[in-house]
Amino acid sequence: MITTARTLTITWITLMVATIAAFVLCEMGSDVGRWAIWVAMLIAAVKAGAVLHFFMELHEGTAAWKAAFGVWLSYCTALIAGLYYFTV
Amino acid sequence: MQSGKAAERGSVNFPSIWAFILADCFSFAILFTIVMTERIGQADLFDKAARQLDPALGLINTLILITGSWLVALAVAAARRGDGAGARKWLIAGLAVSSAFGAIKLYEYTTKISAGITPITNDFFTYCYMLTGLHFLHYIGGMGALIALVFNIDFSKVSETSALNWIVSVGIFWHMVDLLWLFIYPMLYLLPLI
Repeated sequence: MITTARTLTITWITLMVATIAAFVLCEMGSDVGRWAIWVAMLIAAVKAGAVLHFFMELHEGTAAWKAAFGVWLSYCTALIAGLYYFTV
Repeated sequence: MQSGKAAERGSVNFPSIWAFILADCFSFAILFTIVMTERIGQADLFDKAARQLDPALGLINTLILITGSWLVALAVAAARRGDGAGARKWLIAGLAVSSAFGAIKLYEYTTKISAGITPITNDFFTYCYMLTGLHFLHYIGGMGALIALVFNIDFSKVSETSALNWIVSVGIFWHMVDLLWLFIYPMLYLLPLI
């Protein structure tokens, strides 16, 4: 199934809004609490997943390809969020 | 959706470039691991140094890359429909928008270096220049590939397998530049603010 122009545009708008939301959250600094680290990285992970699925069309690949990128995405998210959260 | 074996071999729907993309992504994961483990024990230094970066410039660059990716994705969608003129138009639009990323990155590098902040200032900036520099090389490669597409593809024959495969493959590479930045941006610019 090939991604339509409409789906691509909805994805783009979602990515733009999510990017601005993460920026606003982090700009609030330490006032928001350290849980914001996880929220910011979850937003990054969802954005990366959307780029892989809709823009790169990873959904055309086999389960093995999807699993490999799922591992990569999960590892990067957990690594960055975890080490920021637990290392003060 | 094609069969599993066809997807493994590589085709217009799932080209062989995915193997390169996966290897590149895992290479960056190793770099992320090095940076994040080096931060342990000197988190205060890393976070103070990171606050010398401008998160607003990082935000603008992220929005530029996302928009460039969207425009290239529209070019691929047009090519798949056999709309050669549309594909070329979206590729040129993607190039135009994405060129702003390079301009802003060069502005960032020159202002930092002229302020005396270089790769040897401290560990944070060593890794900051390394990560963003390697990413920038990928950006240059992607821009070069997009320019090569615009000038070398016969867009009147965009439905032919060879032309379409090139457009889809370069598109996937370009999205990877966006994909990697989606992790570099919070790691260097955003999370140190919290």
